[in-house]
Amino acid sequence: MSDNPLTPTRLERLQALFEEALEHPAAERAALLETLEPGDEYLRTEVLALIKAHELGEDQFRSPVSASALIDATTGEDRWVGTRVGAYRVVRLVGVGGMGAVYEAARDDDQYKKRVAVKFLHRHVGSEPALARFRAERQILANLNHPNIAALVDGGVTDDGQPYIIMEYVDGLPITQWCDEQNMSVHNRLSLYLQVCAAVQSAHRSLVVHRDLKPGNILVTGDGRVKLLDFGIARLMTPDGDVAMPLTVSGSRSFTPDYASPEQVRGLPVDTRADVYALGVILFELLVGYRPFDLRGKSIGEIEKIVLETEPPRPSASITEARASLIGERSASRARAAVEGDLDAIVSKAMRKEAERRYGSADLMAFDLQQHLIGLPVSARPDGVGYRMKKLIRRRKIETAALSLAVLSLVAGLVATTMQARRAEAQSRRAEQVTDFIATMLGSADPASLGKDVTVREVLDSAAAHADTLASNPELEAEIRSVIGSTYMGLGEFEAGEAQFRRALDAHKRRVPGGDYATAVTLTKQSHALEYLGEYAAADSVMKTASVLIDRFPHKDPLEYATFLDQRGRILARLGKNQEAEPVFQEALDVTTKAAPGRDSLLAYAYVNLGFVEAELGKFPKAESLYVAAITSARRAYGNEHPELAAMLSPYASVLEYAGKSAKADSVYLEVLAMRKKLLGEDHPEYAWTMFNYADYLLGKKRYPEAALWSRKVLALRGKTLPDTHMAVSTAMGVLGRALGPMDSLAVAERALRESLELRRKHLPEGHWAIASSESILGAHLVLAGRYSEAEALLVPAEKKLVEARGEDAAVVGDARKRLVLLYTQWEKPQSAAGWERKLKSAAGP
Amino acid sequence: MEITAILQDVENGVAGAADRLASAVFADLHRIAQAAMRRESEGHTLQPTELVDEAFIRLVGQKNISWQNRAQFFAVAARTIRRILVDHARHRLRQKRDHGIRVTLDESISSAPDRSLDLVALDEALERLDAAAPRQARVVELRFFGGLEIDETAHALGISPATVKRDWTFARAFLLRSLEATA
Repeated sequence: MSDNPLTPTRLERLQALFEEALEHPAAERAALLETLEPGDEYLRTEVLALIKAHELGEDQFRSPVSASALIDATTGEDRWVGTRVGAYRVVRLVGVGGMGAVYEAARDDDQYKKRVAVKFLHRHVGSEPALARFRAERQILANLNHPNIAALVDGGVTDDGQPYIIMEYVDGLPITQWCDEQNMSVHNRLSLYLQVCAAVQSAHRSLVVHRDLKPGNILVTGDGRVKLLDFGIARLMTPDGDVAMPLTVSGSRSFTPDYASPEQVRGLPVDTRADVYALGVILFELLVGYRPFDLRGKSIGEIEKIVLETEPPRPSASITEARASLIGERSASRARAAVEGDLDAIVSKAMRKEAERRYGSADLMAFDLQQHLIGLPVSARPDGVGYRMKKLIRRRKIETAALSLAVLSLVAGLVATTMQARRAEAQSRRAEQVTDFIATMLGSADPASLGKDVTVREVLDSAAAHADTLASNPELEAEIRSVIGSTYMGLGEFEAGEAQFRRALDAHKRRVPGGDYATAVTLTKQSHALEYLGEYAAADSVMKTASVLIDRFPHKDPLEYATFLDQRGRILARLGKNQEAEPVFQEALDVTTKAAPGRDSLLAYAYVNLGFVEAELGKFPKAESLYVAAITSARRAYGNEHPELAAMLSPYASVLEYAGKSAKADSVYLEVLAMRKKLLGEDHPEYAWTMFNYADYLLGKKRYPEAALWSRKVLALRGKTLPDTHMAVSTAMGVLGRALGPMDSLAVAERALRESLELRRKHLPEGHWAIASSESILGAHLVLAGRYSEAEALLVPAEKKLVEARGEDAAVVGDARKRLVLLYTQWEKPQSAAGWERKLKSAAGP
Repeated sequence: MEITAILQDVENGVAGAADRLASAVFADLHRIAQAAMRRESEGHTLQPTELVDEAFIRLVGQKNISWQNRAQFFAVAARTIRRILVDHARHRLRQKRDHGIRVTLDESISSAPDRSLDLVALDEALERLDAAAPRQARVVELRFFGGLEIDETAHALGISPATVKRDWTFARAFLLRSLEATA
């Protein structure tokens, strides 16, 4: 346009022609303009271009004026920069996109300079239930733990109702741009692309569909690692969030049309295979340099028609001379040869119009790409013998130069390839079935069929019921139930989760009666669920079975193995078997440090668990430094106000207390109490534990009235949120009793202590050290009451049991011996008192 | 009220009056926008036209005021809003360049057909339109930045609603076309 200056006269003429042409049917316009303006070709083209722009509709021309835009503009800066979001301070605007503005933020304190990306979503979450749902769904995303997926750090809603999510900050380039800048070869592009498939597959297994995969969401960092952004964000963005958080949204079109599958364009419910389609488009673009369809400047109607009806071109046919050098090939014909055949077929299969004819999963697509990379047949191609032979010969060429053996190896190779293909088929079939099932589940979450309020919980319930139909295929059933179970756990539905794991194990048993590695992994999950339900003995026996199985396998996935060790150690510790737990946790820490350096949340757990048993074993300096390491990692991973952080500060306070650092302990206790009350509410069992710990601490400091007050607060929850099986009940009862003793409420105290002991005898396995500890405490109380012989009958055997269970050096053994010294001193039996004094000193000595 | 006097000056073509009006509008728009944000968080979305209306009511009141006055006010308000938003967009662009930031977190920011309009480019295109067809440019300013309806725009510019409609259709196509060509 610039070479044709727009004079007022010409513009007037342009408008007149434009208006005139608009009056006529599209087909006649060109001819009409020819008659009206035969001399000026420029004007004629311009008019047609204007009409095209006009037809894009008003949607393209929405007014930018809004209250928030004006605030941003009139304050001269951004409304979020400088504000606090969660534990982070917003530093600067990085970009504004379709789903909202993206900012860089940094941790608010100087201690940890962690960079994150904050996204403010264009959506308001008003009501309480909507908020709760937003948080639940967000939790599922937070559990997407994959090295190639940018981690969701946090998310929430600002005071004025603006939802946001905080993600790992990724400094990288879109995968297409990165590959082009490096002139990457086709082979290297595919290797990189496999990382993308792996990440997508991992998310699909957690029932999260991306819905908006595109190069801009697939970044490659400076060190060549792929990071996928915005997983599941499309779902958090669903428009009627005030009503529900549906898994799928009909009719919403918050996607980039270039990568959208036909079902998305039509506004139908989508599942994992919409992501497979997008993967196909991205692979095309990665190879060819542009996208299969040119949708620029097209109207919605035109876009629909193209995506629904036009077959994408073959990538190999689309490679230009200019492109060849970018993908590291000397000529276009060489580049085309590298892409022709397998890669054409793979892209075409991923981009089929009908979802059911695409690859069933990202895994299956990755499998084909891998086959291609090592020169084996791909499933996307017709299964002709000729194709196989060609493949084989090419493969032979690469692998061996021994031409004299060519014929022989050809025959051998053909057999091997056929077998390989057959095995691949079986493997693919199962992967496909899992994916189909998941897809059906997500599909059945169509708001139209289940009503508006479709939540993850409902989808899971219907999936669990649906899984009954899989009885004939135990392998598939086990895998699917395990996925469902884990998702229930993520929602905090432990009982439902445990039931699914149990049924997964039934299926495993039908598959391999003796059990195998997969069985062990499921057992670990079941044990975890049982632990959450407070059934430690059952959780322990489950782990014993798992240990036997897992020890048979020398090569374990390190993170899976760390999870297993962690679970086994935790159950041992819960049962008071700290001597046994210690080496298990030490190994878990070693494995985690090696397998996941820099993964702060995982490291924090490994440290804290080992710290816990060290403290239980009375090794306080060691425990203290482990806790410090854990809390440092946790603050880095979660910020300064987070349930997980509280869970670590709480035992840290006890350790400080035992290590004699009272002032520090007191302040840590108060930090945890405040944090938990705010995060969990006053009725929460975790808050109860914290109150109990504080009560116990106060007791130790002889602050009896306060100790009684806090333990009574714990006991107020008994029967409400704390069942009698919960350790906090019996323990708090014990503290109350001991606090009341010195306050002269001897009878009340005795009742509390006896009830505490009874609860423990009833709910803990026989021989548990905590029972002995209760007996010893009751004995001490009887000393105060002057009932010495009754006291002796409790204190002596209790000390013996404690030594057996915890060893000579345990803190509880020392306590028990102090009580014996007190008994015999009060009872005026100095010889016995002196004997216990010696035992106490020799054990405590260096 | 002082503002009515400024409006009178604007109408009488007193030098600098439009600027004085603009700065009064500017100051108030910010306050109005803040109040509007609070309402937005309660689910009420303020339309651009309401924003300008509210500025008008707050600055001028609902006293008897001639249509000419009112039209002047809207013209100045629309122009002010345009300036505020475009300056801000330009500022953001500059910031991005200064920091050498590659916008990588969301591709849809820069490319693509249906994303939010590039205000800086739009402003430049509007300048070009203004040079050859000032009436059409005024229509865009009032409708697009001022949020005025067809009839109100017609009143403000003293032209027929039919002309506003035609100019609006044409100018919109013209601007979209320019944006496409520069993209």
